[in-house]
Amino acid sequence: MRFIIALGLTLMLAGCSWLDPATNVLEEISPTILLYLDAGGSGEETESTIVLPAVKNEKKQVVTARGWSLKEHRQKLTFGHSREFKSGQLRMLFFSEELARRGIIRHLNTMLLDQEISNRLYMAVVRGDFAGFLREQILLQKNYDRILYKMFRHYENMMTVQNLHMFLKDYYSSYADPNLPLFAVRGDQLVYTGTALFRDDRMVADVPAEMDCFFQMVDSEHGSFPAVTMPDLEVVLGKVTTSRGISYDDERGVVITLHVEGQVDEYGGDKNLGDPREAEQFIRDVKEDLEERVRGLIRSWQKLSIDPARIGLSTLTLFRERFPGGEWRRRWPEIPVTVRVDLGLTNLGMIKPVE
Amino acid sequence: MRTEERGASGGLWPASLGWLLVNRFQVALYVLFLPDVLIHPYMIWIILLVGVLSHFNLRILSKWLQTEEARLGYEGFVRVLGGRAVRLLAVPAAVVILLESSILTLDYLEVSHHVLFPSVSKLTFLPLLWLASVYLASQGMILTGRFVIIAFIGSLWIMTLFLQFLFPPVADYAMLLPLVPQKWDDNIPYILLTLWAAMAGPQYLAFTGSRFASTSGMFRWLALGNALSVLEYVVFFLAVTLAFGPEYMRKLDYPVVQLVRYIELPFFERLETIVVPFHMIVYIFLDAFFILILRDVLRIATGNAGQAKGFFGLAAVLWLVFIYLFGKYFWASETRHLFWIHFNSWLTGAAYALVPSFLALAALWRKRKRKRS
Repeated sequence: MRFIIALGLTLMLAGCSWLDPATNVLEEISPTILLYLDAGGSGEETESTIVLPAVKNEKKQVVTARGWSLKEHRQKLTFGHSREFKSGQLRMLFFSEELARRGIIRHLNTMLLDQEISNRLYMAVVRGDFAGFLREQILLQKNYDRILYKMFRHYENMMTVQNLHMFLKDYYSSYADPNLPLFAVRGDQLVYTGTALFRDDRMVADVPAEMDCFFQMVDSEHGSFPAVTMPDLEVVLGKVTTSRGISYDDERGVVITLHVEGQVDEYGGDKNLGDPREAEQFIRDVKEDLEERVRGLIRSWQKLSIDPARIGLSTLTLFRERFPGGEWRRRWPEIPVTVRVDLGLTNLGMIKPVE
Repeated sequence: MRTEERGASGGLWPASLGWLLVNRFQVALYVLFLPDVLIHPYMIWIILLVGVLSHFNLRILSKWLQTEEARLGYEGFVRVLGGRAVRLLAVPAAVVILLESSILTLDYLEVSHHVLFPSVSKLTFLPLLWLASVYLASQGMILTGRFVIIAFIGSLWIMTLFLQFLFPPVADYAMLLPLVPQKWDDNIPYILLTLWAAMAGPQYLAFTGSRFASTSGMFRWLALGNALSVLEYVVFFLAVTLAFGPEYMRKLDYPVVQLVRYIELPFFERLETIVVPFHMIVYIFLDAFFILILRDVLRIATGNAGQAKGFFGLAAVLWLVFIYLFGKYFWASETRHLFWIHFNSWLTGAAYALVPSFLALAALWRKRKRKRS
């Protein structure tokens, strides 16, 4: 009896593959980690582009399929290929800007329903011909898809990095609008060019690269930036750490307080920062410039009636929801916003202009 | 107390086992399902409120467990209710046990099917679960009851995975506001019912009075188990609300399981492949317990209550066949699934409300009658 039980257990240790009609043998499948979705010409059609993993001496390939739904794409790709495509390892999802402006919730829903796909799926919007770019890059760098994935993991705190979970959380919240990182194909390079802002599931605007760190300052409660460039004042601030507070009251509206600390890394202007009075003036200029930039960003969001930095959440109190049931979205464009920056700069005295 | 079991176990349950039993009975199904029902953050207060109600109900249960009749097992029930009534009540009891264990088990199988093996029929794993439960049940009630310790250790750690969602920077507490409702949800009766059902389960202990070595001081242990369940519900509910936000949470089936899928450890991802199977330990325990109770009920219903042997095989097979057919014909779609969980809430909620007070009152009544005569 014991022997039979032991035998049964040994058989079960070999796995449950005998129960499962879908094959998961590694040599029989193609787990892909990158998917690029593009609007495919007419109407509702879309286009999937994936990087085929290589087995042994094969070359990596980039293949594309077109159709109405994502699953249809996969079916088409599978039947045209010797190994079955699996999305269990899918880590990155790129949208073309055209598709993002058309709306992406239908595709996100497909991703969410597929239990094989992790909610930690990184997402981004790409401007330009990404499929063609991938085709070139995969020849030059064999592991380009992996390299992209590592980039997302590495820069999680410095640029906009969003995954499926965070996007949908913002999408469904009545006090937030989703955003995604925006990349652009420039020649043979993929460049981070800021943040794509969404209203519902459609991209409506973007924060350009030079303004992106100011968006991050408002968006995240604590931020740290290796370099903040302010070309108007000819200054680069380094090792900047920020913390943000947002408060709301019925009379004054939204008050955003930013505590910014950092040092002057590069200075090309003509002020003598060794002189206390000029240094005071300089700090005041930087502060006003910061305030103006943040104010400008928020004004542009109010015009579009979007709230990508979840400012609306600060209107909630323990006892009261001031704008219940989507009211915030309607009222937000008219709410007065005050931006205050507390600036602490160090390392001023070291820099002296040439006499 | 049956001789085979006394020999096999070497001792009865200590009263302190009560808290683990209460806790695991309560949380099994609803720890996964509850956030589906609780949609607003302020409902955390309702969890606490129902927890307090359940606390008082456990007080009644412990009153019953301390009576002489409860300690006698079957004989005691005959003394309180009369032999005929006990036999009559055994038939609906068997149906209730079968229904409740079907709904619990199929719900778990549904989750594992949905998350882990979407291309395999959910009933494929029923025989495996059954084998484990039957093996455990064949060791007798005493050892099965003691297995709750393993079930507890094997599943409580899952809660610690969720703690990371409770603290900043991941958690934004503004999501929980307002914590005082401006206007109550229309669904409050249903929510109260489901929460009450989530605290249900300990009523089965009413039939195990003879297995405890001593039931004095029992209430403290039962209350501790109850408090732990409330804590678990609160932690899971808070973690899910903070991670998804109230609106997104509403769109998901089983947000707790979806949140497990989101957890990533530095050295391991896809934690659901570990967590969901580990949660099965609780179900092995529960199903073994149900099979044993079913065995006893079958003995009583057929008038063989005095016998120490028999009916175990019948109970085990009946259980398997019932659940298999139930799953095959009544559990096909998601809407059915929700209907049965709702049904289960009524069933077990009613049982939890009625069984302890009914038995305690019956015992009290008999005591009075005896005094008078």
